[in-house]
Amino acid sequence: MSEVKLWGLILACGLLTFTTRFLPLSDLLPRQLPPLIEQAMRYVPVAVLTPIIIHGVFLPDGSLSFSDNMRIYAALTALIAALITGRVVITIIVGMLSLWGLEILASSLL
Amino acid sequence: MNQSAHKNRTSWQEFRFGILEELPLQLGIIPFGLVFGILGVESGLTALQTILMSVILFGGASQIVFVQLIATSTPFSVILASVTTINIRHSLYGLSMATYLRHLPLHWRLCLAYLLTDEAYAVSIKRFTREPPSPHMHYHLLGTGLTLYFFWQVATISGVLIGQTIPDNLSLGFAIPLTFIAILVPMLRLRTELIAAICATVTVMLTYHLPWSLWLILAALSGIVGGLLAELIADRQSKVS
Repeated sequence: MSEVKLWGLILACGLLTFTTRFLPLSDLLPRQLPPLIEQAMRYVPVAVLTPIIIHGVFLPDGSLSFSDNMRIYAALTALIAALITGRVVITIIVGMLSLWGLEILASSLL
Repeated sequence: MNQSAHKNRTSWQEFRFGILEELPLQLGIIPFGLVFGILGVESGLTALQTILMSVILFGGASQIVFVQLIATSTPFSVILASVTTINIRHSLYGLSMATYLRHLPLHWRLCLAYLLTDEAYAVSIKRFTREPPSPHMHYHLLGTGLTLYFFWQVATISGVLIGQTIPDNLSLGFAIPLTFIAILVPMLRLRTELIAAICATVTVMLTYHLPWSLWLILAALSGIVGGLLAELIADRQSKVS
């Protein structure tokens, strides 16, 4: 592939990505959104972050995997840690350690 | 903290709170950036291309998809379409923050839009919606955004330079969903938010095989609609009874 074309692609992706970020803050949109849209926006954090979590846990390689997927149990452990502590650092550490522990356990049993 | 303490927060205080609240998430961002740096070089991009992609694009999920598609010689038009579909969720972030940011001068909106990412959004929207407003609130998003930007660049460069020495059985990519579990779970308060999460989950399972990574925006929209409908139905029921 040509070097110039690849740089062009990176720049085009950057420009389009910036557009997705700036458009709602630009003057093309009314300052006051309709009340129903305002109400709907409350669900943006949960509606966008949940799919990213689900994809990372159930579809690490792009296809659904349930059996032998230690990520599911590690994610559940992290979920419990998040509910109990509410602390970001503890949740990430608990989740990562659970995954490593479960993977070692699984490989030593098989 | 009480109402007046928030109202009197200086721009520097907002900025500092943004940085401090964003810092814990870097435990998940660093492995994420390392993974991207490693994948970038493995996909055949040069070190410079990988590093500058983080600088220009600044969107982790889309950058990973980009290099995965480059590695399999996907046509450029498909890569562009995929990156855009993945990143269109940022428009939802912008929309939900518009109330708090639309009054700002153009240079502020351009700058904050450039820094608007999942992790900065998730931390700052909590401050915007759950805590009393202050005139300098936008500095909070500047703080979360710049912190993330800094660590994302450092992690990418580290991945490019020392990535080969990191064993690949560490499953570092798992840090990504973990980071979002850590932000999202403590934020959930309402039953309707749970319904939104269920709608989004079901939609991922049904649409993950569609082209251009359409699953993300479809799941996000279904979650929003599901949550809103549940709220409207609950409101109506409480009015009737």
